[in-house]
Amino acid sequence: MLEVSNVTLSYGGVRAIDDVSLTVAKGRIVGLIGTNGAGKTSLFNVISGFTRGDKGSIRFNGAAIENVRPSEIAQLGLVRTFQTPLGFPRMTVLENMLVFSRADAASRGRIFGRSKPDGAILEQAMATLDEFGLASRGNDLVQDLAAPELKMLEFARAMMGDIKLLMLDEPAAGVNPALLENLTSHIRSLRDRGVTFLVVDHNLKFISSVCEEIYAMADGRVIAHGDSADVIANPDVIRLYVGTGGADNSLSKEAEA
Amino acid sequence: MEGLILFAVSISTLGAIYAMLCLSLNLESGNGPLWDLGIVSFFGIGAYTYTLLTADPALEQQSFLLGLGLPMWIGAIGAAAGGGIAAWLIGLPTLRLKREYFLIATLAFAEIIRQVFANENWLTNGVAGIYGLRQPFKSYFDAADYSYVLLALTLCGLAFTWYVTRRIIASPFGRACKALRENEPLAITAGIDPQKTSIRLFMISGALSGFAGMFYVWYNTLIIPGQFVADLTFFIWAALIIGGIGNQRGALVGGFIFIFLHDSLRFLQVSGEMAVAFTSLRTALIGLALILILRFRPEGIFAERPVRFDLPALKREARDA
Amino acid sequence: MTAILKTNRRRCLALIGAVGLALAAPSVALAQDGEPVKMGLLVGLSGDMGPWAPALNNAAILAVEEINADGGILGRPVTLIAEDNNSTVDGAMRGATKLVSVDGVSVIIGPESDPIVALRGYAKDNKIPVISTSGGTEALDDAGGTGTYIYRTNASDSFLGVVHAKMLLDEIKQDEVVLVVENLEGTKSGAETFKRAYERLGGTITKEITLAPGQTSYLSELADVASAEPEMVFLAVGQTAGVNFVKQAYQRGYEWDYWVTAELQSPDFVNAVGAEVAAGAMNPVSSQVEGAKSWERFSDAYEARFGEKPEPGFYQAETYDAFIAVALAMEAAGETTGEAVDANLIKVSGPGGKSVISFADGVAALKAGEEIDYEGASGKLDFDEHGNVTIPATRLLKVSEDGEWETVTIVDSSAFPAN
Repeated sequence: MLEVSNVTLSYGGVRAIDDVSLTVAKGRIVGLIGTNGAGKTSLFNVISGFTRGDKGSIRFNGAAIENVRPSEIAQLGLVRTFQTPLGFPRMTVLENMLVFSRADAASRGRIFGRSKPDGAILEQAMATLDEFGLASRGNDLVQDLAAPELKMLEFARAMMGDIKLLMLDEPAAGVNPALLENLTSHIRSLRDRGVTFLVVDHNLKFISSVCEEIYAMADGRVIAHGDSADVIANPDVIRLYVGTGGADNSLSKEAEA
Repeated sequence: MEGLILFAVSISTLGAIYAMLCLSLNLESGNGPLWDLGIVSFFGIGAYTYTLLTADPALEQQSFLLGLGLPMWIGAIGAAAGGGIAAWLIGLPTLRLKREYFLIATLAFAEIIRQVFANENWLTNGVAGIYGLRQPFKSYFDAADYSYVLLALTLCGLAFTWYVTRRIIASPFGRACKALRENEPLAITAGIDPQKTSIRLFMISGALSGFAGMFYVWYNTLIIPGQFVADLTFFIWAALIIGGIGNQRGALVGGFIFIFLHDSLRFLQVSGEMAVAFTSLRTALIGLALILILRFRPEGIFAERPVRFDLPALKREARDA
Repeated sequence: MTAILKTNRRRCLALIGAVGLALAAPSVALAQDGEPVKMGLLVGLSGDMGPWAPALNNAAILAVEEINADGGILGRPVTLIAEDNNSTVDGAMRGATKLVSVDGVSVIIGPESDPIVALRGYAKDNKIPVISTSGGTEALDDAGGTGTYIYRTNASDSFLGVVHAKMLLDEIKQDEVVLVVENLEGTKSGAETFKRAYERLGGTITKEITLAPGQTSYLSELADVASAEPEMVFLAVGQTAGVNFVKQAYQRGYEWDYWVTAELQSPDFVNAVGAEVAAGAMNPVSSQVEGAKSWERFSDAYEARFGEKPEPGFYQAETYDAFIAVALAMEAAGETTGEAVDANLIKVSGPGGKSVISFADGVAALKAGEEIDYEGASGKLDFDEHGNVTIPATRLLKVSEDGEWETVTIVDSSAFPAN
């Protein structure tokens, strides 16, 4: 579904991404781990079109997207999230849902699109919100949501459009264990409904429990790839995390365990 | 009493024109992401376009282009088109900029455009302006009653602007604009193209402001570059902030309140020499209103309201279905 | 805290309420008393014309007080109502509507160029004469006269252009100048009319240089001027640019003579650049002929009332004259409507009939059944068919060594070719 081949990105003299290739097959949940500054978020930015790579090709469902505008990439169904969970703060939860809906995307081009959203769309939005425990929040402003609710909204709105590949940027950051369970099950349930995932995170336990396949990055390069268990047991990966000392304690502890 | 009404009619007409501009500004800057400090440009271009299309040909001592004497409805379309096209031309280079820089760029363009009005004699008759312009349906009415007619026409224009802006804000396009206002990167991940959306929004606002320019020509019966200075942009912003930015009703009311505040001191009659000192109070009164509003109602008289949907009804429908 | 806020808010509301009542009060009083004759002054008390408007206001006060002291118009007292037009076009529309519809004035005096042009239709539709006393716009050159309700008691810019040209050519024999214009509405149109007249009457403009407003340094423009080696530089510029330009020229050692327009004809300009730099700068202003009784009478009365002499070029006399002429027109008609004023204004201000220089004289002559010709403080005030006047004389002013604007000579300009 997603094929990244030999992508390189330099900032000044520093190679943030150095000849990275990676593949995400349809229906998989693929993890991407690495220390801070390993180039994970840079890679996300390049794939989603927010940053242009210097070299290399990116194909999504067979189409080259390395020179496509980020909004068009999103329209193709390749959608990313950001490290800090974001919503449109001064819009209601339902409005947030609508913005990501198929119906809005289809008629956004017309200036005088229908001024009242289709009942069916709203019903779908409500049902989805219900599923994510946000049913009572539909008419509340997003700025009034608690952080866990906002996290749920990120998943809920993904259900509104034609998302094929969802790239999650550190979904487990700052999330308590109970919610983490929740998160894992939501990712799985979305996958069962046909969404493919590429997940970046520091939380190795979370990553290894949710992902079937992991890429490990260091200094802009892919240093390991394979089944979750294999990658985590990979000596290079362990050395990297232990070696970096305090840079990422949780991760190194996970790795040692 | 009738006199008071006539005066009220006159300032209401201007208030309605301001309200149109407020609605247009609210569309792009209140609901949308564009901090436009050049709204006066499109207002002016609309007014000039209307004038050049509908005025009689230039007299011997004048020089301006066209003067086609076309019917007013063509002028109305021309005014809107002029404003929209100008917004497109200005938007092409400036909409790539970040908000703060866009703001400065629009302000600069507004001044450039005013200079064009003032200096391109062949086009606009320069600083002398074009005067003696016709008002619509004037010959059908008694001159003394005409101000009511003009008010009615302007209110129709306002109603139209209200309808258009309201409709747009409620549409998926309007929602996309609001999403861009709230968070551009996130909006992009929803498939919203900031460039395309912004330029389209900027053009609509430009067209609406240009359309309002036509009424300003009717109101004043002449057009000079001095009418389109940056002051007006700031007046409209002040009016919108007083009324409530992001709220249609706020924009509507803000335009009228601004003018009423500004002119209410005309009724405080003072004698002789005091009159001079007193007029400076008028601007101060607007300033005071602005400060009071910002202090006690920072979101304006009508704060932006969340767009809510009737959930119980929805659930009922869902259950029935 | 909230309690304090609340009381504050309540107090605030009370204040707003009180202001509201105060606003409503005058209109109540107004309904009870229909007696006084109301005359409106509509000038730019705020906005660009702000610095000049108080002088016009003073002249209006003087005229009205004088009329009331002499028994009022047709025995009725006169009330002056001053309104601001914000120096803008729509301000003029609102101000005029307020004066006419709310206050019920029968005449509007004072709107400057753009405001009066905007009021052309309004004047005719509402049958309210609108009389400019300082608007130079060429748009009024053939717009006014009986039936149009538009008049002007000051000279047109196009005539001022002729005056500048004639004074340069005839009085100081200067047939070559460098023209320096600031790129502003007012200065540009002034320079344009001068240029037209000067070249037509045989003068040569050796170079024309435009100053961008708001610059702090005009060194390259100065070099440009210097390259033409002028004796005389015609400065059609505003105060700020004018001061910078002249100062910098002095610092560079250029010893040009300056011929300036009304914008620089003020003590402020001299003070800002210094007397020794400004000395010798010349400017012609419209004036009554030397020793004219009407001017001296007005000037003395003005000084007695306001403690300062009316300044040439500030249009006080023109404003005063407009009020007196209107009052006389009402007397002659026997009624105080706008229509009566429009029908009689040209008649009472001559030519032909007994020459009068004050309201009291005029009323006396009218009572005796005579035709009158009001001779104004500003000039003969003989309106032509387009409601325009010529200026009888031009006073050439020059900055003296100790920095005073002094009169060099007064020239009869009544025979200058119009335009």
